[in-house]
Amino acid sequence: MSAGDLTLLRLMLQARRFDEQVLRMADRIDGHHHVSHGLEASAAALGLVRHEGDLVATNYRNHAHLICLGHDPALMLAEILGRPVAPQLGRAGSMHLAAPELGVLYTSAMVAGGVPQSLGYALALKRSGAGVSFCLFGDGALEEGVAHESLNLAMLWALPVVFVCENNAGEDSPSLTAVAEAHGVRAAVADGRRPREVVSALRDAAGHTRDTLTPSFLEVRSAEWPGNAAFFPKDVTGPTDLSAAAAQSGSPWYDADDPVLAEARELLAEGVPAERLQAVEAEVTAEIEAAAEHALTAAPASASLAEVAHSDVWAARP
Amino acid sequence: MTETVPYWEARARALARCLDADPSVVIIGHATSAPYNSDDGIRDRYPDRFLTPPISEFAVLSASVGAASAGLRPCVFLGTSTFMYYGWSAFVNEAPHVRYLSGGQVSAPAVLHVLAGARRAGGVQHEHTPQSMLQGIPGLRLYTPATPQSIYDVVVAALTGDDPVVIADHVLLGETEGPLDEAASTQTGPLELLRSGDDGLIVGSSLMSQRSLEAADSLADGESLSLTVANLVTLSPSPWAEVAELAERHPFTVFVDEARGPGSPASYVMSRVAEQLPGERLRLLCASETFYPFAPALLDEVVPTVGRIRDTVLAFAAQPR
Repeated sequence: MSAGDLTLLRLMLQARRFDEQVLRMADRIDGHHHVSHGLEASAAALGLVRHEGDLVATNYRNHAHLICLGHDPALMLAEILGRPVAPQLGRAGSMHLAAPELGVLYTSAMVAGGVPQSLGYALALKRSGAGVSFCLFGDGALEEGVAHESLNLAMLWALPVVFVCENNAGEDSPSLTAVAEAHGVRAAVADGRRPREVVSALRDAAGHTRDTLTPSFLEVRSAEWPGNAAFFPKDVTGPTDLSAAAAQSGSPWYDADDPVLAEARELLAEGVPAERLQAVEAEVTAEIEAAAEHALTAAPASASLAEVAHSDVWAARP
Repeated sequence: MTETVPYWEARARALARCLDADPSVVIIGHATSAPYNSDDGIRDRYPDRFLTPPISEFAVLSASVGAASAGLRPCVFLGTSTFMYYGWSAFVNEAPHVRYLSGGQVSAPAVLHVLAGARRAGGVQHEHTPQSMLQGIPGLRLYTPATPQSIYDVVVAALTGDDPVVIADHVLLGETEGPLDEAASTQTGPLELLRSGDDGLIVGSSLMSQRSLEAADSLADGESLSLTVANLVTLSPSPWAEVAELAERHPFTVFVDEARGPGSPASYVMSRVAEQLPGERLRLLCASETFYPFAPALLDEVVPTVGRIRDTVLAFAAQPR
């Protein structure tokens, strides 16, 4: 990325504004949902590093990943609201959002559920030569035994998987790279509060996997966003305001931990005028507001609700 | 052309046919549980399509689901059915969702072959009937073949269809001989008739269908009872409507299942048939509600044997109705 390039900022801000919108609509959403505040650097890096043909296994905290891969925020919000709008028809909700055309075939919402599935993607991709597999999961996934089986299997079968561990357990938590290294998987760590570092680390990891057709592991360490909760997150930090990048905001999270403001500060330091940042902010804000409006008025599926609830269960038999 | 072949050979031929026909078919499993014919050179023909996994059922079964979603046709052989409990999530809580959640855009036709039921002297931990727990999973196709023709058809159907599949096979069926017409492989109906008669109907699945056939043959010889025996080739989606139609044409129906009664496939099918036929025409014979013990003499007290099927049918046939 060249100096003054606002692509990274725009991607992260899109993801942030999207989740801020979700939190604003929380009282209209059935069921619980997860937001990606503070994890936007790895999501944006995924969007920048993924090639056409690569497959992606994400998890229940998937909004930022899908936004940064280029998914339509209006479709995503409609699905989160449970509207029977194609393609997912209100069957998925927040936790199972997917977009096959962007490499996200299916989203498992079990902790570590996508980790072993990403090996299968890699097995298929290795044989077809079409790309590599990206697998994103939280630090909690490494508490599941299957994550360890998966690191082992990826090495044994030499599978092109880029494991990305989004570790938001906090500064004092131990690094998890040793877990990957124990299985012989090349591992690196990046600071999730420094988005450019994350992009370059993911590019390096993916490059290794593309070149060698073997797995790699990147731990992206972020601070936990204070609004996170087991079921219903609350927007305790208030909406992101890029103008706060020019000075201390008084909020410890925005001042020290927020990757979005960190990137805005980098751009300001490079001499990008504050007005350009504000112009991007205004565009992204308008885009997400329009998406929300569209989602709320989305046309329902043409099929009856009973048909939507019951179809696509069994394959048509020849 | 119809030939008489052993069950294991029909299975191996179906696998070879699928490997020959489709380069995306890959076989994942250990040679010890291989249901292919290790003497026919199939491994040498396709060395890169036979993968030997580490003993990591959860990761391997889940990887097969991912691989199927991404366009391969993986067929995993675990051998002993209880090994799938370590990887249960992949086939009951992942693979069946893929098409539904993608609005029909992506399917995950992974195939899992296990040896279910009691193999005799396997012991309580290696002999189970997981079909009881699998039959209610929407989108997961569940097969219990009983003849060379049906295992052949089922393997071909599994590896050419678009649903995730569990084939609950039975090790004691391996030497069963029967007719096989490879050209007539019909992508498999939910029922197969092992014999036909007018006096009554026995409905079984897997090994129980072969035992029911033996019992019916002996009742034809000794008691002049002419019975139909049907095998439930497909357990899910449930073939109850086809069974009801068949049961209607017979004075009585006995359902035989190697699973314990609670949650058994036979009990579900029978409950649906009972919505249409009076209860005095229906009878359920399952394994008793205990473990499958190690000693074969003990096992025969638990699982329906040819003798117990015979006695049950004979007594039930004599009841006034």
